[in-house]
Amino acid sequence: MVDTSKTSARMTDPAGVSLDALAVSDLSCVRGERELFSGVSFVVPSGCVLLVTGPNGSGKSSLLRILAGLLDAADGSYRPPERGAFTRSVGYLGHANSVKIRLTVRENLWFWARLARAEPTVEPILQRVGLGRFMDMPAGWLSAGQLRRLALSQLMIADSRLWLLDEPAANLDSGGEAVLQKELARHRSAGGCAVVTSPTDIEMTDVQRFELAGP
Amino acid sequence: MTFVRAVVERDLRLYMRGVVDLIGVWMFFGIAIAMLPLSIGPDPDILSRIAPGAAWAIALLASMLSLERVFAPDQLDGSLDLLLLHAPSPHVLVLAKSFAHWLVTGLPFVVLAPVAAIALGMEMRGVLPLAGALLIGTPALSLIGTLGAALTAPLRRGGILAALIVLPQTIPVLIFGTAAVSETLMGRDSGAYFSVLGAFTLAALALAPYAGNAALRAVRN
Repeated sequence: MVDTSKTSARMTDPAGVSLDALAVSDLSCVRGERELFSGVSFVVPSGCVLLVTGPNGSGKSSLLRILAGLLDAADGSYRPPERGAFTRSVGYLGHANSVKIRLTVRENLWFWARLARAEPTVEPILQRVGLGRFMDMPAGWLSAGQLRRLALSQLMIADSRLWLLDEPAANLDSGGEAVLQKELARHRSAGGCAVVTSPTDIEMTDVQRFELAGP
Repeated sequence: MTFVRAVVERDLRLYMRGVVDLIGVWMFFGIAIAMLPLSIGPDPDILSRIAPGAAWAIALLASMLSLERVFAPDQLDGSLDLLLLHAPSPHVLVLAKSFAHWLVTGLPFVVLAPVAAIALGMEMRGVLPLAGALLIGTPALSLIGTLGAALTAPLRRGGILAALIVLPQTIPVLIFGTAAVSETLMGRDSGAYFSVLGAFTLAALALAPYAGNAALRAVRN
C-alpha cells in the first residue's frame, strides 16, 4: 500500500455507499499550479465499470494515479473498495507497461505472480492473453501490442478488486481488444469493478460514463 | 519478507543480465587501485601509508557509479508505480533496493580487499581490518546512495547528480573507515573507529527508509 497518511485527500467512509464500491467525492487535482479538475464525484459499485473520457491533458491519468495512491490529490476524498474475496484492493495498469525487456515473458509475469503468491497461474494467464507461444522469449522482442498484453496479464495476476486501466487498448489489435473485453467481463462477474480511461468514447456495453471537461 | 526477497532476487537477476555495466564498476575499483603505484611511484612506505584511505575513497566512488540503475529503470518503464502499489510500505522497497545494490557494489569490494592490499603494498595484517571495515561501512554507502537514486529517478542521466547529492553524507564513512584500518596498522586500538563506523551504518539503516520514502513521494508529485 502506498502511504496515504499525508494525502490531503482523506480516506473517509461516505454514508450510504457500500464497502464493495469505489467512492470518490469532490476530488480535485492541481499539477504545476494548474487545476486539472475539481469536484469530481462518483461511485463505482461492485461489478460495474466506469469509462472516463476527456481530451488530452484533461487529467484522466492523474485521476487514476490519485485513485491508485501514487499521486496526492489537492482536495477531496476517495475510498477504494474492500478487497473481499480478492487478493488485493487496488490494481493499476498505467500507460507504461512495467515490463523488463531483459527478462523473458514468463520471468516478467512470474515476479508479479510471486508478489501475489499466484505462481501456478502464470502459464494459464499468458495463454489467456495470447502470449502462450512467446513465454520463453525475451520481452524485448515483443511488439508494442504484445507488450500491452503482457502488462494486462500483470494486472490480472495481481487479482485486485478495483482495476484502474489507463488507456488499456493502446497498441492492441482487434484480437487484443477482444481479450481485454473478455477479461473485463470476467472481472465484473467475479465482483470486481474498474475505472477505464480513454481519449475517445469507445464502444463498451453496460458501462457508466464520466467526462472530464479538459483545459 | 516475501516482497523483499522477490525484489532483491529480481534486481540481482536484472543486474546480472546487464552484467557489463557491473563489470565496469568492479574494474573501476581494480584499475583505480592499480593506477596509484604508477602515478605515485613504487615507494612502499608512501604506498602502504595511503593504502587504507585510497582503497576507501575508490570503493566510495565505485559504489556511486551504479546509482542510476537503482530506481531510474523502474521509473522509466513504470515498474516503480507497481512496486510501490505492491510493497507493504515504501520503506520496505527502499531497503530491498539498497540491499540489492549493496550485494553488487559493496560486497564485491570486501572480496577484492586482499587484491587492493597487495597492489598497494599494505602489510598483510591490514587485510582483515580493511575487509572488515568495508563490510561494516559499505552498507551505509548503498543506503545513502539509494536516497540520491530516488531523488534523481526521473532524470535521464541522473547518476552523476545522485553521486553529487550523496557524497557529502558519506564522508563520515570514509573518515572512520580509513581510520579504523590505519590505526590497526599502526598497532593502536582501533575498536572505537569500528564502533563509530557500525553506528553510522545502523543510523543509515534506520533513517534511509524514511528519507527514501519522502524522496520517492516528492518525485512522484
